[in-house]
Amino acid sequence: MATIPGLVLSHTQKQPDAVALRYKQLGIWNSYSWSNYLSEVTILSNALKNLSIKKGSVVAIYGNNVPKLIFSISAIQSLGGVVVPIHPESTSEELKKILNSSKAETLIAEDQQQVDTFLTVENDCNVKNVIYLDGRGMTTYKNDKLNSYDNIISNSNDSSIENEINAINENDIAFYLYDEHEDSLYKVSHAAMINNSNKIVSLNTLTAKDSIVSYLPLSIPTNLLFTFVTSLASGMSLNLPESNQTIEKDLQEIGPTILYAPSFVFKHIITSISYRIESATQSNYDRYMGHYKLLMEIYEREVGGNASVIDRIRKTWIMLSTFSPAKNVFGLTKIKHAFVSDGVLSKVNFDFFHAIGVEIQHSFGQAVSCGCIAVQPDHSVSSENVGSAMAGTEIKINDSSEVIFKTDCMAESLDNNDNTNDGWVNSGFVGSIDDSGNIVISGRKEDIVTLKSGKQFSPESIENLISCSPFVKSSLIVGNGQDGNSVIVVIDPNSVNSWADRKNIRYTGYTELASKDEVRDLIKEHISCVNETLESELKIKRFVVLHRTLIMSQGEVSKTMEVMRKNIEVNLKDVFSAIENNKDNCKVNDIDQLSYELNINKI
Amino acid sequence: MTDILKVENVTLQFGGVKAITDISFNVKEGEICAVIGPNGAGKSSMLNVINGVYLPQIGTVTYDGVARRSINPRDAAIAGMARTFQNIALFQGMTVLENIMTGRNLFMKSTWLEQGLNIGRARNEEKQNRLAVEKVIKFLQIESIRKTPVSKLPYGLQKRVELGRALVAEPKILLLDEPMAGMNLEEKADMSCFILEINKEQGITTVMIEHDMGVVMDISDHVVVLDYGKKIGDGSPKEVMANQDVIDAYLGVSH
Repeated sequence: MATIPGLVLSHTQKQPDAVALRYKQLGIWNSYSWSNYLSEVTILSNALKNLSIKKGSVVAIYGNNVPKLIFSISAIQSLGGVVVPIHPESTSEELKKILNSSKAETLIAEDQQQVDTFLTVENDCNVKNVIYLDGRGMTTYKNDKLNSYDNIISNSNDSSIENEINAINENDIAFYLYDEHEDSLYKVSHAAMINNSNKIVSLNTLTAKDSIVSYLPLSIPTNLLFTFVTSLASGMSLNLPESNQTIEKDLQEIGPTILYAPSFVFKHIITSISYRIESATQSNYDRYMGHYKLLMEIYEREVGGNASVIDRIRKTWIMLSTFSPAKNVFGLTKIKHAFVSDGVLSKVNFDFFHAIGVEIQHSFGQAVSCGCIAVQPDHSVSSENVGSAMAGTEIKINDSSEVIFKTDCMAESLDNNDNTNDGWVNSGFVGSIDDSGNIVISGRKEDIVTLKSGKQFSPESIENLISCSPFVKSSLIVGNGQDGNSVIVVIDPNSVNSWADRKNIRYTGYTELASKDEVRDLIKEHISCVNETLESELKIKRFVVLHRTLIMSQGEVSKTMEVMRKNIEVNLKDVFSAIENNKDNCKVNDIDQLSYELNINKI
Repeated sequence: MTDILKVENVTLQFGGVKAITDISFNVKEGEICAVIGPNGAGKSSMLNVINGVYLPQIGTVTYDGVARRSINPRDAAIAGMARTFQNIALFQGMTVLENIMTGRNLFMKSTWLEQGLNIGRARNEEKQNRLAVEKVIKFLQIESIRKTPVSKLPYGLQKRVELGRALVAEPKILLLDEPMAGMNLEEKADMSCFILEINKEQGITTVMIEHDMGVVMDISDHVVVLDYGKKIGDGSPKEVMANQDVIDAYLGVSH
């Protein structure tokens, strides 16, 4: 068993020249070998020592995945400190809550955006030192707490920190992880995090030759486990993209062997393919559509075990001519494992990825379970479950259908927010266990909808079906106390734009596009198809196409793009009340202080 | 602060048409100077006189301590003047990176043969120039479109690319001709931030022609108002706003 800085040290001894970290800067990929990695950590660690960071000190890191923040994790921990990763898009309230609960006294912020957010809560927290990485735009700032990274490094030295690293205990606290849904922080030890990570490594035989791209911030607990800790546990290289806008290109250039992402990223890949195809020439469009249909037919026969030799030859041909180039565009050519962090992809999308040879593996976990308790094995072809419990973990379903678990990699609540019952942790999700012992997650317990008839169900399963259309970005079922379900649909601007261009529909912006009759018909057609697969009581009777997308800074979607029902209900209360009162249209007074007219359409 | 640019009694005529009549104003080092005025007031002509595209019949332009009546545009560029244009003047078929690279032309000393074969001085130059270009790309946050042909970009981004091309020339003074024309609110806010940052953090003096009064009053230190080729106002944004001639020129006056 080891500690996080201990792993850096051991890789430096075992494979000093292997690539540990790759990042793109000024258009060029640069890399750090393990020995460079350790020396960066050493210099920062000695600098932090001068700032009196010591055992038990809490340091928050606030920003995107950039090398200096990655180094700071090990540097802080090598002194016995605790790292609190904070999402770069966190709002002032979130930041205040995290800084106060964790009692952090030092903050390492990426750039002006983060520093500005901090300055709004400066007097409400205990932070005494702020180290910023990029000083752009801050030359006029006069605040004694602010100090640049380069400045603190310049007073440092490179005297070895091996003794410090060896002195850390694996049971020391390594991270405080923030769970956005529970609004709560969890303490995680080095041992728990690494142990959990080792399970993923051995289950999937990840090696030092693999590479992974980490493009979501490490403040997302599952992402921290799957990318950062797993790269240290297996010794593989961690790749950091240039910016959030260049991810697609960066993925293509790196061609990672492991992909780890929440479901919205996989959905985005499908949507991107779709809107590119929509704007392709007619002959390419027809060829793609024909090949897609054929591919899915052959895949079905493959899964059923009755694919003929001719099928295989045809598949080879359509892969070569159509789907291999498409895979290459998204950097999926070399993928061995593609993990989905939150729940399941819809069957259509799941099957498509498997058909083109990208083995999707669902996983399930939260901050309290150090990021993961269940993961699908390789070559699993079921799109419904999230796999079975990992080693050292027990999962069962309690009387109220809630998924409860025990694991040897537990995190402890920092806010005394105790979810445990006789040693079993309530996950907050409802679900079931199928015949082969796989866990099926239906949705969050708090989201369960009860219709007027008393029928209860998880809205996520229906929303998943609606959102699998490339034209739908997200959707939200409204049904509590109603005769039947209604749905609020948010259209995907990219794919609907391309579609509208193809159909010669004129519009000036998102709001106008969303209000077009043609778009309404497009969505209506899709919902009608979804309705055919639903039992009669759950069928969708009405829908609204929303005039805007959901906004992360307003808490309407989580950092992993999950819809946050409660906040949406508050922000769009006019829409909800119009649906509940069976009106045909509604006037929305939105958060931008403007009002919009929306139609509530019948199916 | 010293005056980096002095325009003295400049008169510019095209045949019988007087575009600019006896205009004088000074631009201090490190300031943002806005030149405003109704259409046809002679603003763009003024910029063209400053960087030597037009030769005024009367008057001198003193730049960086050297007074002259005319300057070759290339010499102006060598002396540290860079500009953008009212109508986008980019190479539409070339990528963003290539377009901005053209702004480094002054720093390329190698011959076309060396460049073609990537040997000798050309290799090092290419590296240095690319680095300078990449820094500007990062500054303007256009990493994701560096390899996109300019013709495929929306107008607001093309304007940003044009600013990038002017910036890589490492200018002392930047002449911007309507940097925000035709932009939406968000694009204007972005562009204003970039101009302010270029001015305040990199210390580059900026002379800007702009129609958006909100932007002009917000970001400039000094405003010069032209009307029908004559100067009718010169001072801080506050002074200019209170000037009766300026108000008349913009709102009209009853006769």
